[in-house]
Amino acid sequence: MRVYLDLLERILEEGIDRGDRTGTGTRAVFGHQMRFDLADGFPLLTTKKLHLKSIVHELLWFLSGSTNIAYLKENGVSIWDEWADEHGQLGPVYGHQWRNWPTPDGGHIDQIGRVLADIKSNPESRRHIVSAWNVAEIQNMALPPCHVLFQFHVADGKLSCMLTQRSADTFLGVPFFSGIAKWIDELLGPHSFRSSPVLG
Amino acid sequence: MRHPEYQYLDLMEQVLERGDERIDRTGVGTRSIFGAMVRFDLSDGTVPILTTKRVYWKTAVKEMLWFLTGGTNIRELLQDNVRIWTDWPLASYRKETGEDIPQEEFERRILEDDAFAKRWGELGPVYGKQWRRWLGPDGHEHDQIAELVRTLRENPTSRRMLFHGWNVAELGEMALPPCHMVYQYHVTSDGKLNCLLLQRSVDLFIGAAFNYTGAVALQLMLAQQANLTPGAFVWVGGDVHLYLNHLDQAREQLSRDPRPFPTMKIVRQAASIDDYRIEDFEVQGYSPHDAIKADIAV
Repeated sequence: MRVYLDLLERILEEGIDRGDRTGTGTRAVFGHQMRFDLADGFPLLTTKKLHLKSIVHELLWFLSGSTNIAYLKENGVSIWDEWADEHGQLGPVYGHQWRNWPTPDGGHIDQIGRVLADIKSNPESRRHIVSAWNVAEIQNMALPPCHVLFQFHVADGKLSCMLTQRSADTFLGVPFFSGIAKWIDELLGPHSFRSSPVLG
Repeated sequence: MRHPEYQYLDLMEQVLERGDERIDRTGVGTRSIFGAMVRFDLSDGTVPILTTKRVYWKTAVKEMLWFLTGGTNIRELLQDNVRIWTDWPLASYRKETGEDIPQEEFERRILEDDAFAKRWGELGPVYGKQWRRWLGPDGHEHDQIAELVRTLRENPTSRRMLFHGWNVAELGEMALPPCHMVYQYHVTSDGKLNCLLLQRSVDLFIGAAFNYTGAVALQLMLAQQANLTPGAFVWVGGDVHLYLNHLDQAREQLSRDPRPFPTMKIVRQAASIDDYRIEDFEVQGYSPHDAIKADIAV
């Protein structure tokens, strides 16, 4: 977990202060990579208490393809509340793009289903990617994706995941993203694997 | 300070020594690792055009200028004497017609015959198409580059300054899905423009050197358009590999010592991001080691 604390320290010491969209102001660095070996355990931060239930429910909700906060509310998760409209809608955010990326001919692509099938049938592929940055639909999203895409890699029966995040609220947001690799690993069966988030 | 090119050489050594060996899509086989990052500082005018072998930097810049035109046919590249994209259309021509045409002959026909170029020179909706004319489900086209330039000028603290070519709906029609995938930008409070390039698949011996060069040329153009100065260039690799027929070449390159990085500058103020020409780029102080020959895997 030291790598996370090192990042916080790097931002505090080398970061440049600037204004931002929210009006709060940030101290920022650009370009950072962290790597966790999941054989050593699950990278859930220990230096502050994390609400694991919210993390898991959010991930399950992404995977369901839903973009309405109803499921989250039913399960006591409020992290998306402030972006939803009066009907609980968020626009075509993560879940929609992961499971139902729209095509110009009116069809939809299930990227999750596809990546699972490809990992099994063609593990050496360099195209195991799920992306949420659908350029044509960004303007309709309550919030454009922060964790923009993830890529998987199989070597020696081990599944690795690289998560790319364009914008990383290092204190509140980053600790939430450790669930994705773990989840897909469980779908695929007992492997050990690595996860390495890249932050923009 | 250790020469920044060692970041690349160390990565190459790591792939060579610890890469997982496997057969890949091309059938050639690779040694592969997953997840890497290198970082270069452009603020002193230098650019990471590798020096441990000669990199044909003009070809990389011409390719970048071609992406910016939105073009997707190799004819425009061949007219500029750039042959790096020929392999893919050539392979599909040979496969579909059964005619074992030599590359030179194929390229000559692309250049001379409009109908032939249209039928066989097209790469599908690759980079340039997605960057300049990303098609939405409603039929509307999105110019990601123009939008980026506008945001760099008007809202430089934005965290949404990125563009990419991974259009899930159109991947199947591309000759090759994007390798250099996401370009993200960041402006510091003292007016420096940083770039992060995410590359999902990296042919470390042939491709990476080219991708660094193209990306920094673009960073220089964007900086000029937004009245900023170049800052850091950060490069992130996903599947970073050496093809098994490049291993000796990699060892040869690793035996060489880096020389000082050259400088690159744009010698003319261009009116817009669409107005750059290869003559606008000046590279000085480039005296690399000799080129090292290697075949590309198609």
